[in-house]
Amino acid sequence: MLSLFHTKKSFTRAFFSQIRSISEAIEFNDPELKVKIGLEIHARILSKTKLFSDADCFDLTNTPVNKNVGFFDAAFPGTMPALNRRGIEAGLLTALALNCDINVMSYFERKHYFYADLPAGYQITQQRNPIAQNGYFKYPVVNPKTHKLSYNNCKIKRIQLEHDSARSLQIDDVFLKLNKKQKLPENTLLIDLNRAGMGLMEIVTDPDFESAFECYSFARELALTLKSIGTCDAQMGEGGFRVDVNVSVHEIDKSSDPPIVLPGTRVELKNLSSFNAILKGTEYEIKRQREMIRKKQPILLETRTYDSIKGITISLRSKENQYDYRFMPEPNLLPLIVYSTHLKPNLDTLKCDNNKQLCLSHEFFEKLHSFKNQPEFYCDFDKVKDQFEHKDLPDKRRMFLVNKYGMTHEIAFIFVANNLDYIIKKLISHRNITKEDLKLYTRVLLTEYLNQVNENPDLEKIDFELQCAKIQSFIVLIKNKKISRRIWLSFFKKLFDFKNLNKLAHELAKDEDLYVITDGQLIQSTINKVFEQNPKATNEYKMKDKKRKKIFDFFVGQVHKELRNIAEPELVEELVLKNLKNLIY
Amino acid sequence: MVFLNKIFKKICQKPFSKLTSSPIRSIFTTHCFDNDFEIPLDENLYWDNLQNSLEESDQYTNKLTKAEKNVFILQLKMQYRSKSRQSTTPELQLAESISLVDTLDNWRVIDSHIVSTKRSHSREIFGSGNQEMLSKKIASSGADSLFVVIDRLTNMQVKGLRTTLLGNNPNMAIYDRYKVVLEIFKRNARSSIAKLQIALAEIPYLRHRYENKIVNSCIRSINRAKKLEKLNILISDTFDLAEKQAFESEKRWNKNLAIGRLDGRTFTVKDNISTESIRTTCGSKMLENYTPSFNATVVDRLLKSGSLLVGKTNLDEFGMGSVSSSYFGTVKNPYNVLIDDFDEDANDFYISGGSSGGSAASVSSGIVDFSIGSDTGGSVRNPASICGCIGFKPTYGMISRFGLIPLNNYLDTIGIMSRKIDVLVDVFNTIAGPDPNDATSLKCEFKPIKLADSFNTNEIKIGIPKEFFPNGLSEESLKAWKHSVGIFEKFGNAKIVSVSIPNIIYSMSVYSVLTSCEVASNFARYDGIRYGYHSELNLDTNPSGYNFETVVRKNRDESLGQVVRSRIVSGNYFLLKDNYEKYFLKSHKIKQLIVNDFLKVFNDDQCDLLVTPSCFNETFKYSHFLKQSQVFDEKDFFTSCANVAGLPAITLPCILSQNSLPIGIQLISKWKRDDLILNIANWFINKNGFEFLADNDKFLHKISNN
Repeated sequence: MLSLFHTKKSFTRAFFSQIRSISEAIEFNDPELKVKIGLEIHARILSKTKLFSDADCFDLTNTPVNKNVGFFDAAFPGTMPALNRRGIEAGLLTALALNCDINVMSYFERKHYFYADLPAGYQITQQRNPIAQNGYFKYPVVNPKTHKLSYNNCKIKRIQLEHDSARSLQIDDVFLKLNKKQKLPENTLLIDLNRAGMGLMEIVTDPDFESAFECYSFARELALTLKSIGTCDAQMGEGGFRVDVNVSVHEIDKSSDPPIVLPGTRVELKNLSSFNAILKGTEYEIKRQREMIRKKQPILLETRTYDSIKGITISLRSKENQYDYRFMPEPNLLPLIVYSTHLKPNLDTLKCDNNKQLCLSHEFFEKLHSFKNQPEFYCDFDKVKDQFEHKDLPDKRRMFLVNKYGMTHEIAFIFVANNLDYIIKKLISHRNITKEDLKLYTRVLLTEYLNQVNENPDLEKIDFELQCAKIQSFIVLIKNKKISRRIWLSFFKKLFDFKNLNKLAHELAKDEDLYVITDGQLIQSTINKVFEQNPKATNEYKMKDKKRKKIFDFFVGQVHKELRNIAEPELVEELVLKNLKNLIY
Repeated sequence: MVFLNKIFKKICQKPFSKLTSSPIRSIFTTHCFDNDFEIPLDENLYWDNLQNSLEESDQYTNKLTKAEKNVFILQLKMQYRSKSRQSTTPELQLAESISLVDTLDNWRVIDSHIVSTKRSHSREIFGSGNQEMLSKKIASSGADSLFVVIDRLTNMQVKGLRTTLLGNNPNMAIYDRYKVVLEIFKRNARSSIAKLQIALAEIPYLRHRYENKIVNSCIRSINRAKKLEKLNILISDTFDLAEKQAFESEKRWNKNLAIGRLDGRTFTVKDNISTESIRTTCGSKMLENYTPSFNATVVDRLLKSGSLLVGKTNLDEFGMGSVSSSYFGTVKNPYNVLIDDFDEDANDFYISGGSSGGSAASVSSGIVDFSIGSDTGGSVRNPASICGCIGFKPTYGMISRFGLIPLNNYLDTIGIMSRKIDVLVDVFNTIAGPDPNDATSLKCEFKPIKLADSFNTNEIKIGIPKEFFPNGLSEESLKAWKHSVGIFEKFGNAKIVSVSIPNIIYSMSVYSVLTSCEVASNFARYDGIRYGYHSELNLDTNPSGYNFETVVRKNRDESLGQVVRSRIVSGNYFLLKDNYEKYFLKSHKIKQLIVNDFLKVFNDDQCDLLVTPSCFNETFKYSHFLKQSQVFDEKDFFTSCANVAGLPAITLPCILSQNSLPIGIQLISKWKRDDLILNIANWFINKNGFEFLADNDKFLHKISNN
């Protein structure tokens, strides 16, 4: 019943349901031009409090405007940053996941720019000496044509900790919420400081990507990894995971040997609000730059954004006049020191511009252990490493599926990408399972369940245990052929409908009378009815040989329709064929 | 306060309130000591102190003198006792009182009156009807003293009597029974034992007075602040808060629950240190109406220690400058008061230095016991030296900066000013120590500093930096310097050595560049959007003519001063990508060189302490300052190096110049040796014997006359 064909078909469907449409990336392979893409990802640190203050830092969507704001976040004079230990740990965990070199000492700097969403007039970030550098990240790419999975490697330039700016609200957004008397003048800028001060990890890659699809795959895998180690919830819609794409298309001078890649112009794509926008926006931008080069038009150094409705990129601002950020070491924070028994700080390398030598005297290093409670001074790397060992990275999860259940790499990829592995582990832990059953489980998760993942917004609200119980009950039904294959998908949909929250599959089938019909007489009478209603078709069946297959299908469909799709398909086919044959003879 | 506690413990070994209640009985309660008791030398000292203190506390009840007195006796007739239980009548009591007064030579009873009252313990003894009648009577009698026959009057009662009966006539003296009886015994005491007995008898009375000492000193402090209002010392006063705190503190002392030695001490805070629900202006129009919602760690710790906050002191705008001239006026040096023809409203006067000029002036003029300032390039030590008080800048990181509105985060240090080094040490012990809110505060446990009773200066090596003889060092400053080194050499047998700190001459340049950069960065937040000065927008005529940038520009243009703006511009210039290495980084490198120089001098055992001048010269006239136009001047030459290197430094008043203006000297010691520098300062102050302005008779006379 469940052939390999099924698996492959459902796999393909699942895959495409995610990217919705296949990219043109592969067809672009111009030997004259080289594409370089680098990513900058701002991942919000999953933490209880903000990076430098003790204001709450969760559930941004349901918090009233300007509620979670500390004195420091609103830049009241005299306030000072106090570094959040969780922020450092998240940074280190991420650095380990991205195979980076940890800097024993890093420090924070002020990046000055003047905008309403930045209350203090500067952002605290790590410019010259970030917490981690020089990593690499292996990410899976599924070839859109061959559906084969391969691993690519991307170099990570740096991971830096910084704090987020406030959110500026467009006047259009809030207009409806204000009553008519409170009419605001034009140019009004409304600022919500809830976001100001939240911890961010900025992850910068080398320009290693050559196609939009690679970027897309990287971003997805990175989001999955950060989720797995719990440092970021990677909610793109809420700005918890923001990806900026730097695209430059380079001409290649083939006259010289070896060919030289000529310098190109870097265009930054900002405010990409979904993974799909990353894919489409980057694709469009590559195409746009390629066209410009063909037309010999200059490409401007600028920041653009992607309009997902029109499907084009739009210029936001020109970068011709490069803004000077006037970096300066943050004087109110001490250098961040990562301590480990393996990473002994070398006093000579610990020279810092912001001149905290007096604090960092020999005396200090001798007493390093007594500073354990000072997060900004001291972070125990060994502990973080220990934590990291217990985290389930996506690759580990995929290998588990391949080794334990004998899945292909491609299916394991989809399983992990959608967190199906947790479900299958839960389902299978119930009993010993045959190979056939395993295939059935895989199939249900890949088609019916994945369909729900993509289409049912309420799915997240359903408890994990309950979900598993529902799937389990569904599988018991279909294994015993208690419901017709024709309604599997719709039945499953009903099962996960919010109004049927507390019903298991057999209860639902009973309540809605959806059990399979195996009563031959009922089917026979229905066939008779259909035949009577469609004399033209029966006649045609008799007359025209060539149309017989089609008419057979038509009658099967009609019978199923008449029986609300719940009759057993094999039985219906058998009886219809028998009846039709009776017509001829 | 200290000596009283000591004498209580030494002699009585009992809580005071239990000693006795009746004055006569207490005089003959001799079980505390036997007849062979000899008064040791120390005790003699206490005796004097007791006397002084008694006089000091007698603000409202005048001293008994042997001069002629015309006494008006007010005999109280208590109405609550039933007649059967009364052993005496008011008439008999009045006769006793009259004979008491007659016992004293030169005292005469002019008139007497028996008043019935129910309220001998409340603040106002008489009802309003009686008050009116009595005040008329007293006025017409021509008496110069009032004897209220009541065991002991509280200070509040004295105050009440003075306002309701005597029409605030300061020449009228008020006596109670206790005082009169004591006076009789005092006049007849001859031997030292007898004197001591009387002293002991006085203790309950003294304590009685002492019970109100805190409220009194607070009121005195407030009155003085009001008298010296024209000196522009305070930007905002918190007199109500101080008075409320004083009453609470008083209660604690009376219940023996005082929090510490600072409980009841008055203080002021520089107006760039955040105080919850008290406006904090930084002397700028920008923050004129800014009221913080949190306390700086320093303020928090001081308020918890029971100190009384009297006001927020004036400063240069955001602490930039050394004149203490702000949007709220220029601080006039309290020494101006000594000038015979000084006109309070005159435009020219001696300045008080800066930027913590208001704090220094408030301490020097005796308004408060101590003051909290901030020191970025000498902002505590310079005005302290110019106003004649002690100004201490501890090691960077010793005191939390949380709540201090920053000028330069690398150099800012909270500083303390006081007239007495033991008060200063108490304050330092209270406010120093790690703070989780300030990452740059030193993380090691803070050990409270104890002043040694006798400090041995024999082994101390005093360093005299070669580089500290710049052009412009005045004769007077040089004289003070020589004077102080002389004291160390002659009285302390200290070794004097010449040392060299070659890079110190660049400390002003380092200071200027770093401060400008920091200012540019720290001041970006003053946009007038969330707090601070907000310019009025004319939305009716120009509804869409404003955007974020124009509004902020308008706010800043209209509220920030010239010096602030010029520093913001230069700071932004220094921080430009192309200039970063040329200025900012280089300054940090020089800063490190200066640190290394100091390390060399102190760690190679060359010396323990540097003694340097604190200013080029004594204070000068405001008109002289107006002629200068530099944004950064060289005035902080001697002081800024300690900030650059993060070292503890202190300025001590040393001598008076020819113009009778104070000149200070500065001590700088090794990193984190705040204990050493304070001990040496204590030793020096004791040996030097500088008369503070607040103790100057002429000054006291002048401000009491005003």
